[in-house]
Amino acid sequence: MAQLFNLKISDGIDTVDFLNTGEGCRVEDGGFDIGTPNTKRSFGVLRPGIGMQTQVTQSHREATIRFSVYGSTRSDIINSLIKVQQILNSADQRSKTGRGNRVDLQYSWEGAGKISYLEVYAGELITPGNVLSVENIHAQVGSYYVVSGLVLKLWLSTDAYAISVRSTTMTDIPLSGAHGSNVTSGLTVGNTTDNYAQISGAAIDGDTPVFTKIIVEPGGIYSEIYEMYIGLSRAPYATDKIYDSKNLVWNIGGSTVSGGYGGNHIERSWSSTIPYSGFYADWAWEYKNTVGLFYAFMVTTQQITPSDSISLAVGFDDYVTYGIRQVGDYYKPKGSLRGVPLGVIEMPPGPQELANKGTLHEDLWVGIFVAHNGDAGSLNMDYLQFLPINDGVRIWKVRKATLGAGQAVDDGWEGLEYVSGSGKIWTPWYGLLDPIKLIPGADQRLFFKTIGTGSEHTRQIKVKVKYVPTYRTMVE
Amino acid sequence: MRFYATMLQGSEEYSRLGSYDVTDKLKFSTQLHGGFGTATFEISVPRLRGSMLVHQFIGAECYVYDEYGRNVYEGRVIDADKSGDVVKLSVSGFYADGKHIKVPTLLWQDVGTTTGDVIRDCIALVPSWTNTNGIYVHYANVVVGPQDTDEEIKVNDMIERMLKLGYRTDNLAPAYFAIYQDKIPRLKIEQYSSYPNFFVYADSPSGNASSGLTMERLYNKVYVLVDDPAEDGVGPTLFPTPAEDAASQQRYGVREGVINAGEYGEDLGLDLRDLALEKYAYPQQSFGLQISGMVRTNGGSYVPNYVIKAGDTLVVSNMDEMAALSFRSGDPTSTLSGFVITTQYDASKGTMKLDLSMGDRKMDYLLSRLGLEGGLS
Repeated sequence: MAQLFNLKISDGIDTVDFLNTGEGCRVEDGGFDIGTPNTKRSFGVLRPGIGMQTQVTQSHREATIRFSVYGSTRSDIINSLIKVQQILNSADQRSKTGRGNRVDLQYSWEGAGKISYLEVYAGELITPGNVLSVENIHAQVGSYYVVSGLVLKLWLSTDAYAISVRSTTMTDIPLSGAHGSNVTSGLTVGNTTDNYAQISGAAIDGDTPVFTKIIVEPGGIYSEIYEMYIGLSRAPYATDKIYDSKNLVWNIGGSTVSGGYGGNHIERSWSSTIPYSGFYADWAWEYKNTVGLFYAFMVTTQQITPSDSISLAVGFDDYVTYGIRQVGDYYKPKGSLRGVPLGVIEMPPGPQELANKGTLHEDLWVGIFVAHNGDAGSLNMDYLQFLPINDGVRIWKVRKATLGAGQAVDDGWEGLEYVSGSGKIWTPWYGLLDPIKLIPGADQRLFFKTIGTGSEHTRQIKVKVKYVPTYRTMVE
Repeated sequence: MRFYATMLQGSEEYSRLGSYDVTDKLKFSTQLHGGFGTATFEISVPRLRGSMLVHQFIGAECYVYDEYGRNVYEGRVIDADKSGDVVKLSVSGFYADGKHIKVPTLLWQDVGTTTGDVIRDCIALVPSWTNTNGIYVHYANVVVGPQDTDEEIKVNDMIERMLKLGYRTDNLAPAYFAIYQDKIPRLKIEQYSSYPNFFVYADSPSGNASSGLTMERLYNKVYVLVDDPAEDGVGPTLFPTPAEDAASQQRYGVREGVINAGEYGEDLGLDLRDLALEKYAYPQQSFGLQISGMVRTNGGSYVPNYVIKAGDTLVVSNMDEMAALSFRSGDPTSTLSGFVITTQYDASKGTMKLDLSMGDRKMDYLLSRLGLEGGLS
C-alpha cells in the first residue's frame, strides 16, 4: 500500500507526528537527516598482500529532526514538548533497565510501499537559547503561537524493520525437509540426516540478516532433551554429515552389536588403557559433499562410563603421509547424555579452493582422539555427526532435567527464551551465542541437533520459524 | 567476530547468570604453566538478568565462546568491580584452583615413583579439574622416588617441581602443565615435529615482530670440572679438553666458561659440557609478534588467530631478513618454528600477541635432575 510521507516517534502510549498541518510539531523543510550506521572496523592480514576484515561493530545510527511547534495556546506548545520529552524518557528507561516501552521512529517516503520502523535507543531535545524569551512567547503565525528552531537528535537502531518494534506479529516461513514441504504449522525434524528445515530465499524479505523466532515442539520427549544446537548454512548443502560406526575402521577395537543408527553400533569396554585414537573413516572420497564449517558430535547408544574419566576430540590424520594431523580441543562427556559436543571443525582441512581442483588428501581420515585416566570403562559408539554452521550457530542449554512440556521459543526479535504451555510461561533453558538470523534472498537450511537421554538417532521435534523483514536501508 | 560469556554459579541447573556479548572489552590470555590465563571484560548493568546481583559473579565459572561456538576461554571469576552502570569482571583460568589445594604428606613413598605418577595424583586432588590423565601426562616417566611433602606444598608447586625435570627419561624436551577446555589437564611438550599447529603471518614482517638477542651468557669454549666419587679427598679437577664451537668463536670471539659436574663422574661431566656448549654457544633469544588476521592450520584451513594457545607450535611465514636471522629454534631444520609460551588476545582490535620460546632447555632439565643448579660461570 502506498504510504504518505510519514515521520513519527512513539512509545506506544504517546505518539508525536512531525507532519502536522495544524497544531503540534512540524518538520522544517529539509529538516530530517538520517545517517548511516556507526561502524567500527579492524583489519588484518589473511596472507601476504591480501587483507581481511577482522572485526566489525555496528552500534547505532543518528538522525536529527529540525522542527517547529504550533499551538493555539502557549500551553499547547508546552504540552507538545512535554510529550516529546516523555517519549524520550521511555527510551532512556528502556536503555537503563531493559524494561518499559520500546520507542520507535516511523518513517516513509510518499509513495513508498511500507513504513520503516527504527528503534530509538536515546534522544535529546535541543531548544534554542531564547526559547523562553518574550519575543518567542509572543510570536504568532496566523492564529498559532509558534516556537521554531527546535532540534530532536535521535540515536537509532542500525536497521529498519517492517513492523513496529513493539509488534509481535511476525511472518511465518514455509519449511521443507525430509518430513514435509512448505509447512508452516510445524515441520517434523529428525536428529540424523533428516535434521534440517529448508527455507527458500524468496521467502525472506530484507537486505540484511533478519530477526528470527524459532518455535520447537518436543512433544512427549521434552524430558529427554538437555541441549540443542541449531546451525545455519546456505546452499549448497553438505550432504555427508554422518559417519556410522558400523562402516568404520575402529582402531580402538570393540565388537559390532545390533542397535543404533543404521542398525548396528560398536561396543568397547576396557580395564586399563585404550589406544589414543580411533574411529577413523576414510573421508576423502566424500569431501565434495562435505565442505564447510561444522560443529562435531560423537553419539553413543549408552552413557559413557565412567563419564568423568575420559575426554574426546575430533580430528584428521593422514598417518604421516603428507604431514597432516589436526586435533580439535578435548571435551568430556556430560553425565548421562548420549551425545558429546566436540567443538568446531573445518572440512576439508584446507582451503576450499583446493578441494575444487581434484581429490584432496586422499589418505586423510577423520576420527576420534581419546584421553582417559586408566580406570575401567565402556563406550558404545554409534556415529560421528557434523552439524553445518557456516552461517551461524545457536546453542540451547536446559538448566533443569527437562526442557518442559509445551512450545520452546527462541525469540530473537523480542530477546526472549522460554517455554510456553497451557497458558503458562517458564524458563528452563538459556541460549548461548546470538539467536539465529536468517539471510534474505538466500536458499538456506536450519540444522538441528538435540542431545539428551533416550535414543539419539530416532529423536524428532517439530519446528516453526517466523521472522521480521529487516533492512539496512529502507523497508520496501 | 563476536564473543559471548556465560557465567554459571554453582550447579548449571540453577544458574541464572545468563550469556552476554562481551566483544567490545574482552581480553584474554593463555600461558605456560597454566593454560587459560586471565580474562577481563565488561557487562553493562541493565543487561544483568532477573534478580542477578553483582556479588553473585564472584567465584562463578565463566565460559567464553566465539560466534561459532568455539570455546575460546574458561575460568573462574575472581574480581567483579561495579562502576556506574558497568561491571568489570576479571577471570582466572582453572589452573589457579590448584594453588589452593595442599598436597597430603606421605603420598608418594614408592622408590619407583615417576613424575607422571605425581602429576596424575595431583590432578585427582583438585575437584574442579577433569580427572583424566589429560594428554601426555601418563607418558612422563622420570623416576623421582619417594617425595617429601611435609612442607606446605600446594598442588601447582608440586606439578611444577616435577616438570622441572623435563618430560621423559628419553626425551629431555621441556614440558608444561596446562588446563584447557572442559578443565582437562594436559602436558604441552616443547618440541618440533612435522605437525606444527599453525602457520601465521605477522602483521608486518618487522613492524610488529620483536626479537631480542643477548650475549650476556654466551660461551663457545666450555670446560668441565669433574670429581671422581671413588677418590675420596681429591677435589674436582678440570677436564683438559674443552668443547668448542668454531663458528661461534669466529663470529663472537672466544668466550670461555666452566661447568661443575659435581660428583657425577667423567662420562656425565662430558655430556654436560657438550650440552652446555649447545645451549650457550649463540646469543640467547626471545621473540614476539602480533597477528591480526587468520592463521592457517596444519591441515591448511584458515581459522581465527585467537584459537592459538600457549603450548602450540607455529611457523611464521613472512619474516623479514633480520627477524629470520635471529629466529633460531631448538630444531635447526625448521628455523622459523616457534613454541608459544604466552598469548594475549584483544577482541576489540582482533589482535593476538604471541611470545615464542626459542630456547633449547635440555641442559636446564638435566642440571635440575642432577641437583646441579646454576649452570656455567
